[in-house]
Amino acid sequence: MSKPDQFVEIHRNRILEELFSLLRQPSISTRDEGVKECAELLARSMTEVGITTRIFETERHPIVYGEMLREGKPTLLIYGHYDVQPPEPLEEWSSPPFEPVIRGGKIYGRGSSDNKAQLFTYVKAVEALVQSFGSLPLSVKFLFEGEEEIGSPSLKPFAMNNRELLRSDLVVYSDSHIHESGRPLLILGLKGMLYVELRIRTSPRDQHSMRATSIPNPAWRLVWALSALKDRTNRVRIPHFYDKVLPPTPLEREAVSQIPYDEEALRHHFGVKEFLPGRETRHYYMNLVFEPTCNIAGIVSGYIGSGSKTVLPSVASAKVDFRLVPKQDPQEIFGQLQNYLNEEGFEDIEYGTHSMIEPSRTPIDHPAVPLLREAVSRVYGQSPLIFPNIGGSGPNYIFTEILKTPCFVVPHATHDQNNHAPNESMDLEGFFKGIRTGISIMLQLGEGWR
Amino acid sequence: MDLIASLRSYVNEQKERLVDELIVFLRKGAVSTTREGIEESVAFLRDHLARLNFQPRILRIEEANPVVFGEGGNPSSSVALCIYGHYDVQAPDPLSEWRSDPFEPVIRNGLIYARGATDDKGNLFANIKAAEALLHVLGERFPVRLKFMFEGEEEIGSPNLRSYLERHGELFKSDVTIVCDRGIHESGRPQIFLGNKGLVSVRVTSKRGIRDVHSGHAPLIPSSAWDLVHLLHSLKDERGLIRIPGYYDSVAPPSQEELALLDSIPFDLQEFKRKYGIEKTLVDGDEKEHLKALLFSPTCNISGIQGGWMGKKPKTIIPSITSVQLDFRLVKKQKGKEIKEKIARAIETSPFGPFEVDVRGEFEEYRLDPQNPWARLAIDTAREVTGKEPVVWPLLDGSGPLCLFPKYLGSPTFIIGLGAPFETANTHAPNENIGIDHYLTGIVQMATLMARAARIGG
Repeated sequence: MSKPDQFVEIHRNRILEELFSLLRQPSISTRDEGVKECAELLARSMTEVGITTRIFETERHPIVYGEMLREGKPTLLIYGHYDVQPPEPLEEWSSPPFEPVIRGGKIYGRGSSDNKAQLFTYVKAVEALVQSFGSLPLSVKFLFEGEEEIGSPSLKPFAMNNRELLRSDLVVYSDSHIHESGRPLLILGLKGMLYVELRIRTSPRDQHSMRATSIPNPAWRLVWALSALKDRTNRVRIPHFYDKVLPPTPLEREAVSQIPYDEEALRHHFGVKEFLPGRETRHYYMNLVFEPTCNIAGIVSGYIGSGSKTVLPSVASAKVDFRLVPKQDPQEIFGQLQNYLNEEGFEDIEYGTHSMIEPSRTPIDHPAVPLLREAVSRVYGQSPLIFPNIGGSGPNYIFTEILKTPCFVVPHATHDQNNHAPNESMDLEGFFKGIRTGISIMLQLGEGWR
Repeated sequence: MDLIASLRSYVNEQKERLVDELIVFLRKGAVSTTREGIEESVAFLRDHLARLNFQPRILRIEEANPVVFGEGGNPSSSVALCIYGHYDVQAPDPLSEWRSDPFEPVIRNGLIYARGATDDKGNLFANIKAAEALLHVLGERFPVRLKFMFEGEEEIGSPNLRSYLERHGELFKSDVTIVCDRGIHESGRPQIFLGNKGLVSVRVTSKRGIRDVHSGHAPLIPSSAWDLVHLLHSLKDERGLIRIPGYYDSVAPPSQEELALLDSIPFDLQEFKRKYGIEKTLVDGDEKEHLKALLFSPTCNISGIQGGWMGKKPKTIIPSITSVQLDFRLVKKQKGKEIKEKIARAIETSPFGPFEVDVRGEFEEYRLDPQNPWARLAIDTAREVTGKEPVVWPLLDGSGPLCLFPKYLGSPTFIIGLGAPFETANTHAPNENIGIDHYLTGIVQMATLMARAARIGG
């Protein structure tokens, strides 16, 4: 066992206790509960291991920035978020969400996997390396935000205004989860997102449905507009929607085709009898990774309570999310969507936007890939599955598109982490593997980065 | 003093009390879907019928809201008249759009605002008060047997009216069943409807998966919302054509005589658009084309649709359940049973399925001959009491259970509207109302009709 790993082993209980204090501090960003206190607590724990730490105020919740620099060495930027989802419904928790406990090899508590334990692995990796060798093998910067669960509104302006401060050779962070089989992952990107609300109002108020022969029904208009967006084969019908889709490279295809899955088990997990046919292949992950989607997240109009109410609704709305792949531009797709629906005769639709997130994908042949693969393999004893991107969306584009820095995600939570749900947990060994992976990554990069 | 003058003077003297009593009735609610206020409204009606010595009976069928029955007047008369009304009301949603509490009636500018004001408590109660007024004016000389049949499930499609009519047909039997619902015409003229459209209501539920799934999985996870949207599109297209196979097969075109009746119905297209706040209607053509569509075209309407997440904060899920409520209004010759089967088949065999389908209600279209003596009496009475020419519709643009009365009671039926004009009454919508003058005139009009009913004979 290497020196830093030994250090972690010896201080195992203290490290856990430190994580627990972080978990005990609520930091619910959506309702401003304990976020500032958590930022200060996190900053203190960073300062204690020798990281020069600074808290930057934003319009909502502070950003905790830290650095430990070494002249002439590559710079690694670690990202993470210390805010958490609200814990409700409380009655479904087996133990209080902000009183962390260990049961059956898992640490239970709100924010355990998402993202406090995964974030904290890097702080402890730095401590282990410094305590073992007196200094780090490279420069490390930390960017921990308190607004991820509310859509990271301050992160983009902060990055744009602090390019020099955040300058680095690569970004690494830990979020999401490893493969169901226990294989580690190396994630190179996230999908983008265009999340819009479509709203049609045809008259000032609901009317008796006997007027249906004369008064336009917004629910019908919305149904027709939506059905124009996608055809029976699941293809999005907005002209030019696919124009900028970057075709996967042979290496990317190869990586994704190697991701194992059990179709039967997946169908059982989601409770569906059959998957959609898939556009070019039936392979689950080929579709998940490379296909952009158009999803109806919600639709509502009129009265749907118990019993019937023969009403002609005055307004109908739907929330639609598009998951985008490189190089689809959410702003551009939004324009295409509006043009198309206008041309199809739906000029009466009002649009609202919930979010626009650009897709991101670090090239699979980036020189850091083999280094990170090796670093992860050494800890997990098996090589990581490589995802050019996953199905979810997030802030990676801020690094890849704005800061022009490659970005990698190395998850340590397990697939049963219940993030955003009651009984969120972090696998106990996953947490310590995470610290060792952090150490391993820093050593690999310090040694191998050219 | 002649009869109408005597009735008017009674109503004017008692005006305040008559309005107060209606307000008490409105305050009781009676939402048929939730059953809130049903028993309270029933008790109120029983008390008011008992006060007139109308021997109230509460008729009950298990699981159904009760029917309130009362009979009085002249027991030895050979003529029996039955008045039908419904004490149940529509759910008041959306509550936020009411200017005052739907069940705390408020008078503003001569209008009583409350859920049920026009539909149908105002109409119904005007009849009880008409009997009261006539008893006051004529006393022992009350000329006919008068029956009241008040239903509590009209707003949910009268699912048990058929059973009540089957079980208690002898009790309700009379020479005519007059339905009092809706209002006078927008022009201020009295209004009578000689028929109604049929109605089928359909609930379709799309279920995919056991729970909502993160939309990152959208490439391959089926969506209840998309399947339902594609199904709906296949039922009715962008041109408004209903694509259910065979849906239009039995639709009969209006006769020349029916079309002629349309000429006497006032209808101002510009005014219609202004009142409903719409720029363009779905009908291509003039006023008469609009009336033709309104009365003689079948419909397929989405009255509600819901699926997934519509909360304020963004949440990206693939909805596991999406449901839609549809109502189909049927016209001449469309048989409810046959149409129900066609609708169910179209949904069950859809390539976007499977769907759960619940098809309910099967009122059929009904029309009374305009020359029928009861129709003539109602038209003449309305003219005499109001001094205005009644607007007589061959057919109500809405639907109702009219077809059941002739079927089970063997007597003709039609509708008299006593409430606020449809376009301002806000029935089924927020801020429902009735004018105090509508209510009081309704009392006089119905009392006069009761008094004159003996002329028709049994």
